[in-house]
Amino acid sequence: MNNAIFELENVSFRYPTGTEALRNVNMTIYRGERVAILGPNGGGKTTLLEILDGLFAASQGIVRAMGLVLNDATINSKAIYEFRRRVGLVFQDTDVELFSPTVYDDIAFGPRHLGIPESEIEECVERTLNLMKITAIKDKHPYNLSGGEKRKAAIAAVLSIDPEVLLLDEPTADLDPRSRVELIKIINELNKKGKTIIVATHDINALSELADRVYVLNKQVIAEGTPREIFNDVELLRDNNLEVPEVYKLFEVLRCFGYPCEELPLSIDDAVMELTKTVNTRHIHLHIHEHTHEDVKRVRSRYEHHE
Amino acid sequence: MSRFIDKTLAEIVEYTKDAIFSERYARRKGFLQGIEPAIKFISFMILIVATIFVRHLHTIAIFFALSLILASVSLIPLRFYLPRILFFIPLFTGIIALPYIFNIFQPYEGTPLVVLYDFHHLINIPLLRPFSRIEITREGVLWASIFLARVTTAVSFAILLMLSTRWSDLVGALERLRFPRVFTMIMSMTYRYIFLLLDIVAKMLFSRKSRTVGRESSISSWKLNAGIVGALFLKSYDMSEALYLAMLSRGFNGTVSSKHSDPDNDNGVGFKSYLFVSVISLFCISFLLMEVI
Repeated sequence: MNNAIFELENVSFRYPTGTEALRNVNMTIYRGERVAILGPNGGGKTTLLEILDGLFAASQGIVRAMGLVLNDATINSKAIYEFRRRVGLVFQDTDVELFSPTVYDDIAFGPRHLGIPESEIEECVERTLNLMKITAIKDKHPYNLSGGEKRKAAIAAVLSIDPEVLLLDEPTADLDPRSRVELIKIINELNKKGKTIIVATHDINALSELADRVYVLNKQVIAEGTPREIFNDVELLRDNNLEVPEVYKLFEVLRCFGYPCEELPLSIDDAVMELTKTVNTRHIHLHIHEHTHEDVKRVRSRYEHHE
Repeated sequence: MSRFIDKTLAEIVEYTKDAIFSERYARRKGFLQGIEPAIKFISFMILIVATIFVRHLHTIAIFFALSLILASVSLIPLRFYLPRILFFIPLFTGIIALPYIFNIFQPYEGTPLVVLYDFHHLINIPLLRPFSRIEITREGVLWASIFLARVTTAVSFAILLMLSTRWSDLVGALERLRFPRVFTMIMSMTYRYIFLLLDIVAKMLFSRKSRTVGRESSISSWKLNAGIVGALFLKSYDMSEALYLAMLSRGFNGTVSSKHSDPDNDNGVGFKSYLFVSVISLFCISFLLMEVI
């Protein structure tokens, strides 16, 4: 009746050591969405993804996923295999993801365990290699790959089972600028092909390009909204050790100098659009008054992270 | 103290380099590199088994010569190959074989070669044969040298197989030979993570070296080393947990199945490979027969 893929009701999770990772998490994720889970280190992002992938059962609360209730009984039943085929989790540590002698074998690992005939596996691997543009490294040992190549290979290893939902744990961490841009593009292309994307990240600069909706998670869901709504809530960001994109801050500073800005841009693309619009419609005159520096100081102090 | 760190670091770098170099040899266009891996594996197994069964020192020498010839036609430099087989293996095998040259450890009375000490009366020690003299016997020396030669030759074949074959091809070959998939998977994972763990150790040692600014007593240094060993253990344990989850996430269900596809070598087994295994079998059989007759 609705197209919710994941529905979490008061989900809590405690590690066997007693450490609390999640507390009363409520969350709904719809088919085809791009959702980001934003939060500080140790905020439970990874644990949440592992629960969404059916690797762990919640200690308390209800996790409904694709018509299945994920509890201890289901994640130990046979039904979970079909579920895990439909949901793919890319771990943050690529060394954990890439465990085969070659990249080719890693990408073939999933399909092989799904009982796909060997002839189709080769086709499937080639297709995935092309999709991630890593055909050149298919025979390489994972040890000899660069960070960016490892990341792409790890995503390819998960994509080869053609999941409907892709869970990505810090996909842009440890990437150089070019690899980062490429990866964001690839993720968005996958989303256009109908895959639901859930990204755990603290890369705020990538957020507006990667997600339509954001959950701020610090053991519990602190806030939910579009990236803009989240970034506009300064208190929320400061309380949870989060930041706004640099370009957002810059335009806030420009505003102090008299630049008439209605919507602060979240990315360079936004900024170009905003500038084009303003330059075309009105005359811009930047100025310095007595209060300008006061205003700038106020903006700066707003984003300072104190101990 | 930092000599320990330096040495360990050097060893790690050396080992990794070694492994990378040997992959380089496996990629060369030499003779053995052109043989289909599964056939090559069988051929070397035949060679190794034959080496174990031949009884005369000169036959073993011929087998050893064969390994050197195969290495050279496979473009593996002997100065790289020989130290690998002639240093560590004979050293340790030698230590194992050494006691057997003395009469007291032998089950039968032998022909004395050198008498080391004469007690002039029979001595009884539990588990040993009663003896009155300690001597080096002719049979003992012969036995020890055959043992040493045999092990060295067998190992030289094993190393040659490793040097001329990429690890992934070797694992693939084992799978085609119907080795249990659990076994081959563990083999390939071990190979994968040896490098990673070595890397982690190297980084931990480097980081420690960069922070070691004064003299360090050997006791405190060993305490720190214990910490490194412990951290490595925890790290590898954590990784194995995460690794298992990653496997589960990608459809692993506890049973390893499915055959290995080999994208490089699916154009069938060439004539050359069959010829190689036939020649090797003939070679081994004829020498074994010659010894019997």
